[in-house]
Amino acid sequence: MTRAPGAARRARLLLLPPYLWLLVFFCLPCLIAFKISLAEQLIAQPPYGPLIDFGDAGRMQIRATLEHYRFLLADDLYWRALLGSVRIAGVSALLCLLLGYPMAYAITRAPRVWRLPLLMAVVLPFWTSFLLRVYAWMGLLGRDGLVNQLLQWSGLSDTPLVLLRTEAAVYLGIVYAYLPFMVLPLYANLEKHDRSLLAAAADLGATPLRAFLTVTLPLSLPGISAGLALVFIPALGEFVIPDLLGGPDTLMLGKVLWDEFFGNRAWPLAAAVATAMLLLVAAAVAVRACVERMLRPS
Amino acid sequence: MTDPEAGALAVSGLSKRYGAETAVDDLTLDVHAGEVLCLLGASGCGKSTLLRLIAGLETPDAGSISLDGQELAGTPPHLRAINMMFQSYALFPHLSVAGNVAYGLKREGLARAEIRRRVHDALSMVRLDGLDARKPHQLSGGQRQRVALARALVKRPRVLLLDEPLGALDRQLRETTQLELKRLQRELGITFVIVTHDQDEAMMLGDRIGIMERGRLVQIGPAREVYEKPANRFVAEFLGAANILAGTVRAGGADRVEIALNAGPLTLSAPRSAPCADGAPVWLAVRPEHVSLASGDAPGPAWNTLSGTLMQSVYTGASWVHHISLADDTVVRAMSRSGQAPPAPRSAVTVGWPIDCTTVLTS
Repeated sequence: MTRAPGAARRARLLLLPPYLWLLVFFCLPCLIAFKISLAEQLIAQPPYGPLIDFGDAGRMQIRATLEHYRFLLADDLYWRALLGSVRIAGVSALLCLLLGYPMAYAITRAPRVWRLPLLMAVVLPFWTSFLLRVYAWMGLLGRDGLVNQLLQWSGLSDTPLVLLRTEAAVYLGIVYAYLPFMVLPLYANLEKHDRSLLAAAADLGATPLRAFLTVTLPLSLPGISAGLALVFIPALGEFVIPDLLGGPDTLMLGKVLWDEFFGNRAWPLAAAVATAMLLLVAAAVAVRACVERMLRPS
Repeated sequence: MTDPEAGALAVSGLSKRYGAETAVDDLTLDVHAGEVLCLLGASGCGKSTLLRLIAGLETPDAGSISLDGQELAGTPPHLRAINMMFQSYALFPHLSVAGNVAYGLKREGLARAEIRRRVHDALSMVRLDGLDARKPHQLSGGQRQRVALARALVKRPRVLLLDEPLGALDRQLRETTQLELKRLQRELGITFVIVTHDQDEAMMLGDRIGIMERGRLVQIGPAREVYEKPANRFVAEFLGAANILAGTVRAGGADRVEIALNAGPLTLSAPRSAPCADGAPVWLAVRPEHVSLASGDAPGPAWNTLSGTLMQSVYTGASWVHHISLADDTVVRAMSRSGQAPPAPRSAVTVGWPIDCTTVLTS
């Protein structure tokens, strides 16, 4: 390192604001939630007991309990919600991959002048509120929604179909909402590929399909992994889409958390669900980091 | 190893346009089986496009390419018995050295043991034994070049196309690699078509040299023929250095033409080569190594002489290169052995060269 020590110090100074931000608005709330998850449930305002208590004689007492975590593990509602979340987020991520890969690939192959407009079109939905877009799907999928009207008008169906409040509607909503998070990292990866590699593969006897499978696909694994993570992680805690588009049997952690917190006012239990979910996401990120390290040429 | 008669390539009337630009223009070329043909030209002259057309990576707008009498149009690149070594090498970054070399063999569906044996042979042929497991980014430029070569040769193509094969190597490595390439080609008997912009490389490697300019093949022949009998001014100046003097045909004998120089009231002689009528504008070409500084008396009747002012003398190690300015500011380069001290700058000098070393060019 030949950089002046002053420059290094200034560079570190630049890192300070974002980390301070994360500390105050991410780490502290997480710690607070964790603290609440260890407290006792009370019928009071706020509905949980203090962690540290100075009892009658002024002696310090720590009142921590793992009871809420034990409850999480014991009641199969939370297991089913967890499984539901993982399944819905996982399937959605795969659906996004199946849809997003050809899209990203096609954009990199489009004439140069078209690439930016096509990418803008992918990001365009972000210009409208997320909530509004989910409500729009309710309008489309409802009993008298546009889709049902079209089906009946065209004679494909005599009676209105139940589209809303189904798991299919949840998949549709999640894929719709998170598709750009798949397309963008894939595009960033595919766009960097050296075209002469495909020419070399063809020259060495590979059909176009073989060349794709043996060259393009393995080289795009980091993009695939990034896209899957960017869809899977937020979809795991998704609350709005299953709540608005899902049916009563759509069980996801985000919805359970909402119900515990606002419906049952069980703050410590809700905090335990939140902490468990955070650990789950952290595990997913760690798995991805490991896969990433294995894929990277050593 | 290969059939000595296989690997003859015939290109005829080939054209390729990109929008308004013509990369390859009605080009006809015959490559003999087992020879090394070097295509030499400035960047953008269409030589790389020609290689990509032969490999099948581009589709021609007109013309045909055939290999050993078999038309290649409609044959996709993966089915052609032609392989290419790319300028960037195009090694697969996610595969090891062995994986790169095995790639083409796997596509042929060969047995595992056969693939392993041929990869091993190919790697030892280019002297990369023991580097099988390395990834391309762990190799030096020279090693990468040899992996690319092994990957193309392991397929036992009838024709190997090499796009600037030594372009990315430093000078010293380039010279040893040139010898290595020549040795390999002799051993394998595969037809090589090498594209390069480096004239020394073309002279060193090529059995024949083809000079390309703006999508056309200007001249093709053995290095000596192209060097000594350039077809036009472009070839004369592109392959080696040349002094070009403009003039007009005055009169001609049976084997000599007299040419009046535009540079002054001077008449030079040259062997009659191309047919040229009296009064036609022509150019004289003479190599600097044939031009010497005349001392004292005229060197003789078989010589052309010119007078001018010595502008500068440049020492190049093996020789001096003198720049002599004529009356109309045309600069003529002459050479002398480095042992002798050059005349002082700004002095009037006379230069001369044998008439037989003068080439008349009509274009």
